[in-house]
Amino acid sequence: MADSIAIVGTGMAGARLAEALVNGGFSGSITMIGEEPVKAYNRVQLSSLLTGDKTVDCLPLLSDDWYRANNIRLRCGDPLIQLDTGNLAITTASGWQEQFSRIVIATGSRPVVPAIPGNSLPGVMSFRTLDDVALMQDFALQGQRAVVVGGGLLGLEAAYGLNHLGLDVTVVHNSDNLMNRQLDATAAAMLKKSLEDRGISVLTGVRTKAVTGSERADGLMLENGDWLPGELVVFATGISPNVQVFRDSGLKINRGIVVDDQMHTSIKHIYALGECSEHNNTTVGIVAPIWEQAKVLAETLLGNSACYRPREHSTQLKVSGIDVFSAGRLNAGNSERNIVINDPSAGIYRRLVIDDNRLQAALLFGDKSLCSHYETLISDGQPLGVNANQLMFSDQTGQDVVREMK
Amino acid sequence: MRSSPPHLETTCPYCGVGCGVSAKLRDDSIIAVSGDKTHPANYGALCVKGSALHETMGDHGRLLYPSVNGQRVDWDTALDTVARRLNEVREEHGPGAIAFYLSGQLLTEDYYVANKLAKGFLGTGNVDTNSRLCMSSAVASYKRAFGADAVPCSYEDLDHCDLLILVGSNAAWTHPVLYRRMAAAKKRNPTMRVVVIDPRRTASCDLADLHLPISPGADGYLFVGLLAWLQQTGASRSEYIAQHTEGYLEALEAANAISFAETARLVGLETDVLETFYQWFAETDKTITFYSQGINQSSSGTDKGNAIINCHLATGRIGKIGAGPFSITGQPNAMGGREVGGLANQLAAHMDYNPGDLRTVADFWATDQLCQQPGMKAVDLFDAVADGRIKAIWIMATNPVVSMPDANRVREALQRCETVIVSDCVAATDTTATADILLPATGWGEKNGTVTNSERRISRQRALIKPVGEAKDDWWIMTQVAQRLGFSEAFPYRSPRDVFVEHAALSGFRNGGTRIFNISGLSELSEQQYNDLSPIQWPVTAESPAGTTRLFTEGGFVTASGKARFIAIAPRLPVQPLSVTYPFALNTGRIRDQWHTMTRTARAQRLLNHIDAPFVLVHPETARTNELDDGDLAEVRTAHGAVRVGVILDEGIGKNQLFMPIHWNDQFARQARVCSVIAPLTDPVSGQPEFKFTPAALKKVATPVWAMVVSREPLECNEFIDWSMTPLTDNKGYCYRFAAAEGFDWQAFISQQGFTGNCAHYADTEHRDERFICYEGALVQMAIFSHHSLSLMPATSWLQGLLSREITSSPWQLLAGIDMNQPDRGKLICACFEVGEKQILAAIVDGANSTKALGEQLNCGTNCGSCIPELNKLINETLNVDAA
Repeated sequence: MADSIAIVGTGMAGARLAEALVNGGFSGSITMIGEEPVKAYNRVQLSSLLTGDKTVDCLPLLSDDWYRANNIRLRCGDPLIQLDTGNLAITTASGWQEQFSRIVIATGSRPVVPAIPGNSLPGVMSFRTLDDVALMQDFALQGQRAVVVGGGLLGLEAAYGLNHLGLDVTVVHNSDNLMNRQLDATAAAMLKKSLEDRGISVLTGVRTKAVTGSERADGLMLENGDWLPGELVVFATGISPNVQVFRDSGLKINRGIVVDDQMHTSIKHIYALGECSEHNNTTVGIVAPIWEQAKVLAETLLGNSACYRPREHSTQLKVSGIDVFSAGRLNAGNSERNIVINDPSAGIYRRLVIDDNRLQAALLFGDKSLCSHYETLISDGQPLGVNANQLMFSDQTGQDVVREMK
Repeated sequence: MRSSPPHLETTCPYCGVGCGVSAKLRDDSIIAVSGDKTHPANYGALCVKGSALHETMGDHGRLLYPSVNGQRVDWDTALDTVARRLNEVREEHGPGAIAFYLSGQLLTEDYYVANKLAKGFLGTGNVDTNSRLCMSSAVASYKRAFGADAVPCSYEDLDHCDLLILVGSNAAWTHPVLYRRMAAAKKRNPTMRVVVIDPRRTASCDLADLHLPISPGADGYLFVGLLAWLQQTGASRSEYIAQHTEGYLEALEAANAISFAETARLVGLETDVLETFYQWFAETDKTITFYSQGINQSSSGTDKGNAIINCHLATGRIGKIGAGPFSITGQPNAMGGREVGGLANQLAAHMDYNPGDLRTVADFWATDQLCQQPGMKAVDLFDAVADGRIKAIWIMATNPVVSMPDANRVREALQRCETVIVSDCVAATDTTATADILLPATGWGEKNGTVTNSERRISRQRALIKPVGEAKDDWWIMTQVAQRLGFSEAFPYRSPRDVFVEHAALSGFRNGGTRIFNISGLSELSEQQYNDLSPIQWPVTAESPAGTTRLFTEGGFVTASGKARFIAIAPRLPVQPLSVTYPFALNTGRIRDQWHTMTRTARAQRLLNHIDAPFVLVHPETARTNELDDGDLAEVRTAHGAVRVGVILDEGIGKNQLFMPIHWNDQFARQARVCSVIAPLTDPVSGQPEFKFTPAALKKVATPVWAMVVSREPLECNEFIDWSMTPLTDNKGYCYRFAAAEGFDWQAFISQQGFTGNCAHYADTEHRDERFICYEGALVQMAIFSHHSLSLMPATSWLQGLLSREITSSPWQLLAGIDMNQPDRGKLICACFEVGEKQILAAIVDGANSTKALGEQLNCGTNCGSCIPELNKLINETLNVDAA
């Protein structure tokens, strides 16, 4: 039997893997099976699409020509409904069925919407897909008020996009700090002010109680009794691995499908990567580690040895005029050396966390100078030179920038 | 009629070399200066201080208006008040309750009017001057030996000598133009030898064939021993001794009381080293002993001067080309003051308090009020201010709260005194702070008159620009007061020339050859002639109308017998011995780029780039045993008080010695007035204080946090453990160095200064590294860099530059404290071309192994040459390290 690989999922992970396999000279056949009706696109750019900074034709990751030229079989809009792990066979919603020599699961994640009354009313949505963006844009044409639940990266980008489209937007966030996974209190406060300066209302430290409305959503009720009017309620309250369909397949699944360092699941010839997978008790939610996983898995499938080693990755908020960069673990302990720059009037905040003479985390607000340098230092874990006191200003950390009096 | 072009030649206001300066003017401002090529004192050369004169101009910080009790008044009110107060004190307490404290920075004309007003008409002899602190021992020893205060030599003798002995002089830093002249002479004449006698290995040792690091204060033993040696080795000239001197045998007997071996032990030298020096002296006819404050500022300074002169008399080396005992003064017109008689023990014009001289002066001045008794010398005079005997004191052009020994007591005395009148050109000094009446005086470039340099050369200091504010010449101020006191007839002066010709006339009045100071040849100068006056050495008489280069060429001393007097000397060590409590000998002196109390030199920023903070030199071993390191803050304590200064390690200083500069004061540092820890012990003859030797203790002051700060506005400094400040050019702001307590709250400090603008803040939880850039718009208002280590601060030049340019990057990027594109040039060595130590070291490593090569490459050392000793030191150190 000829070597055939099925990639279940036409998201970014699947597309990247397919590309890597082709580039690596894979000689068998590749079949991609996906839920969304369109070919793989750059989900990261949805925010830019929403604001109009990017158009929809900028989004595809791979061109139609590429799929044709490399004989990729595509089944878009036809999700898998059953995986026969014993026979390595796939059944899709349309009833299509096929056996493969190897199967890769790259089904990604789904938005989590809290279980509160009214959460399925028309006007309540997530921010995850091209369809979501189209819905928001339609809504913006009628344009009134929107409430975004969730002050993380995605929620803020949605809020910014809706604000950009002319909506009156309020962000509600359950933690006291926006982007609390990436920012400290100082940066979060500066971010809140920056958003407010752009006309976005921000409520932090509040919990949602219910979406109100009879026919469709008309607002959001908070646990504190306040009511926020909003004909559009966007939930950006997190994601969970999209693995429900595999629960009874025999694959070992915790939050995500458990994989080893070669992205191998618990069952032979079946692999997983991306947001649906779980490596070393950790699931991923940003694109950078997924690129790394795709690389490792492509090598594995090509018969080469490769090993996935999770590294610290950075996040950046894609809100025009608000530069936010965060990398590494900010709050691992309290014995670290902290170097902080703060210029409130200029909207500048920079914090570097150093532990054991290694850069552990970097948080940049207002000016992302040197961010890629910090990202490298953090992920490589290389020891700093004696001139760590210049780390904030210079990438010459390998050399001694001598500063002397007189 | 075509008027002749205005003179642009004037004289430098700093040291006693008295260099001619040519100024360049634009729009009534002095925009550049250069050495006057025709002036015989310098032939075009200027030192780094002189070269920066134009940078010290401008009306910022100047005293602009008269004031009484802190209230601005017009001149009439001020002068009326001065006259009324002087009159009240005189009537109520007698003339002796009035004192004048003058300065070697006054012009001769100012000095003359002050002396005449005080002694001749107010009738007080209490007229003394800061020259008391500088060279009164040299005056006294010249007088004892020659019968007159007469420097026998000329600068040109330096060009011709075969042996030059620098004793108690760091000429390389204090009289740089003469030092360059010595270096040039040595280059021309390879057989010329230079001996430097100094407990410290100073920059002047760069030129030395032999350095004698004698025990502090032991100079007297050295020269008394030399006199005995000269006799024992047959080097003394019995013919000259017999013909032109008296008292030789007594002097010799005193000298013979100490054996050669004992002398060697007392001066702290090996016998063969001592013998070498004595032998060189014995065998070299053309010998100049060039001495300065290291000899004078001693409790036996007069004897030390005479011990030197004795050796020159014994060998007949006086009045000869290339030979003589040559005292060099520290001030631009100390000599003019001596000529006028502006010291308490002098009357006027080289006349003393004897019946004949008193009659001569009274007749000349046509006064019946002439004071009949010598007045009090500086230390006694301020004692009398302290205990209330003196009720009114008029201080001109000097800063005794900084420069007097036991200076804190002087300050208290002035604070208590009923009437303190201060005439000065600078608004804020430690002394003006004590004044009841402040009178704005003209400064250099504005005032007009004459000065006399160390070789008796009278030169014109000319008014080139208009006075700032309402400043007036000192002679004018005193003339106005004299007229208000009813002495209009005796004080009719309308120009400095009127004063000068009267002074010249007095010098010739009933002279008849009895007084060697005689400039009667200048007593009939017209305004035009006075204005055109070329530099000329006194005596200037009908017989010597072109002046006199050398004195006593054929003997002809001004004693009763016409013979010079040997003085029998029993040498003495400093009064206060070292002890367990105070184990170090604290020495004081000048640095290369500052002058006196910094009132002028601190106005030129580049003069503070060489050394920008007060310091104490400590031998590395001493530092180690006292747990001190380079850059640490140290307390230097004596029985009179304590100062706080930064430690600089110096291999060239003795292990039981310390050295501190005299310049810093309360305007520039928290607690660095070295004279506040100096005992008011004086020479019994001259009254000059012992500034060069005070037993002291040394200990580290903890400095948890250091900070370098620049600010456009002066900062409140009370909370700091220590501070020092340098003003920036053109009144741009101030640069501070702070030592602060652990956990110092800089945020609170910034708001306490009233700063309300934007602030970029950097904090590192390690090293107490905290930085602030406070700004408004594109201008930095204040920048703070604090760290536990002073050695990890931004380059001062970078920091200071923050206030002179607009912010082009984001303000936070300035928190780096370094210009990433511009390498730090290091500590400034050459102030003229602003060349730093790191640039120089790099050039040396690249093969520039001589000062000439460095000059060609970097320009350093090619203008004033003051840095050449340091360049040589860097070359030697670098090449030796490489060789090792």
